[in-house]
Amino acid sequence: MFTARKKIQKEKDLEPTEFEDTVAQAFFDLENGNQELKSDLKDLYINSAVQLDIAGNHKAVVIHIPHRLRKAYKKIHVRLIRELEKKFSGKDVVLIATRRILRPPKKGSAVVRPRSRTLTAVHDAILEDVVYPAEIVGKRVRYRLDGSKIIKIFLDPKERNNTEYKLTTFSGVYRKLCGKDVVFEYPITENA
Amino acid sequence: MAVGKNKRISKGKKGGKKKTVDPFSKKDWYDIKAPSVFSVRSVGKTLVSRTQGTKIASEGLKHRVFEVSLADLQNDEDQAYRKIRLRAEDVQGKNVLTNFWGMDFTTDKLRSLVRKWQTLIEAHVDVKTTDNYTLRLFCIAFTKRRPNQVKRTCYAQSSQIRQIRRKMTEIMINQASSCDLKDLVQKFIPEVIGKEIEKATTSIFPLQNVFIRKVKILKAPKFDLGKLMEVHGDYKEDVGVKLDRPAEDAQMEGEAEAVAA
Repeated sequence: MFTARKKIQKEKDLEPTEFEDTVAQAFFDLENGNQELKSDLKDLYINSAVQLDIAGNHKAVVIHIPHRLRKAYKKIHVRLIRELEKKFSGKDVVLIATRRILRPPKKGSAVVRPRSRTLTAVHDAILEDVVYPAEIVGKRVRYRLDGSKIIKIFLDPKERNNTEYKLTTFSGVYRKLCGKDVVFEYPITENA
Repeated sequence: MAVGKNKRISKGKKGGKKKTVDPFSKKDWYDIKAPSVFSVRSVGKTLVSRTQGTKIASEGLKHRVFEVSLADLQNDEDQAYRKIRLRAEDVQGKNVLTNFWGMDFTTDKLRSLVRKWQTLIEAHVDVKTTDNYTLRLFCIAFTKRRPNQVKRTCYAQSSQIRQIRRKMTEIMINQASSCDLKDLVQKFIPEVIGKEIEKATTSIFPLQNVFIRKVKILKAPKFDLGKLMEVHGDYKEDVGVKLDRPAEDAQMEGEAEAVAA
């Protein structure tokens, strides 16, 4: 795990790709270089990293983190994203926890499939991860005449400043991961 | 008594109707067409059983009501919270011609408008248009906070509320009784009446979110095909373009005949 350059990364039987190596290297540099993040990053590692192209010549770096470390990552999320975006200049960084999706059990199989391993639950959780630190306040599904769906997500305007420029990236990332069209909005009246 | 005994406990139909008839095979699809006030004219499809005996298909189709979102009719996502009801009035070929039958708001939009610390003002009025449609219009409005307001609430006094309500009904009556249904629908789409009310009441109390939230048709005049065609324009039957038969086909036909014979 913490070998020379393959620190902060773990995959089951698979060799990390070049891109993942660069991401891990960036993590390692941050841990050693940055004093404020050093203690937080000490036990953290990532699962994998993917680079996605978003419409509009933008690229996004999607980093998958282990589910157990989610809470620790959330604590340093804002600072970490800032540092990583400096390292990968011009690209938006998104952290998502690796979650397993199980298919619905066939008739006659005794295996219980927990709700948290359901496709809908995982997609909802991925959406929450994608837009962190902004919170999801409401969801609407709009069915068009031809049967296609758009999901409208309402975000809390509190974190508007540091997430507004990334909204198209969020839509693109979610589309790549889950195949659904998402539109983000800020509800006009904020107070509950 | 042998007569009329076979009510429930039938002898288990062995060798009876094994093949259940598929009801959908006896139905036809029709296209729904919206009136010309909307930009997207083709709204969807419906099914109706084919004409059988005395039951005529178009009669079964005639008074159906379809509820469509305004975003689909105008191709404009900002108006997704308004729904328009269209009633099928006539059948021409494979097209069902509809006419305006009502307008509604989506419940989630309505619920999202209602908030604490402001006053909700509602008014409703029955109006008759120039072409004898009687409608009931419902208007809703909320009081607005001023941009430099410090006070927590922005309630209106009861007398102000009553004045605003009077203005609302006055404007709604003026707008609706001076035109026919087609023009009225054209006023509903860009929310002209709401803006009028908002402007006229600024002297009483500043309002926000002023909408005509619901329109019901109480009485419609007798069915007039001329009026309907005015709203629709003509639809050419989509028969397809006539293609010239290429030369090879004639030869192949000759061969096929020889083989068959």
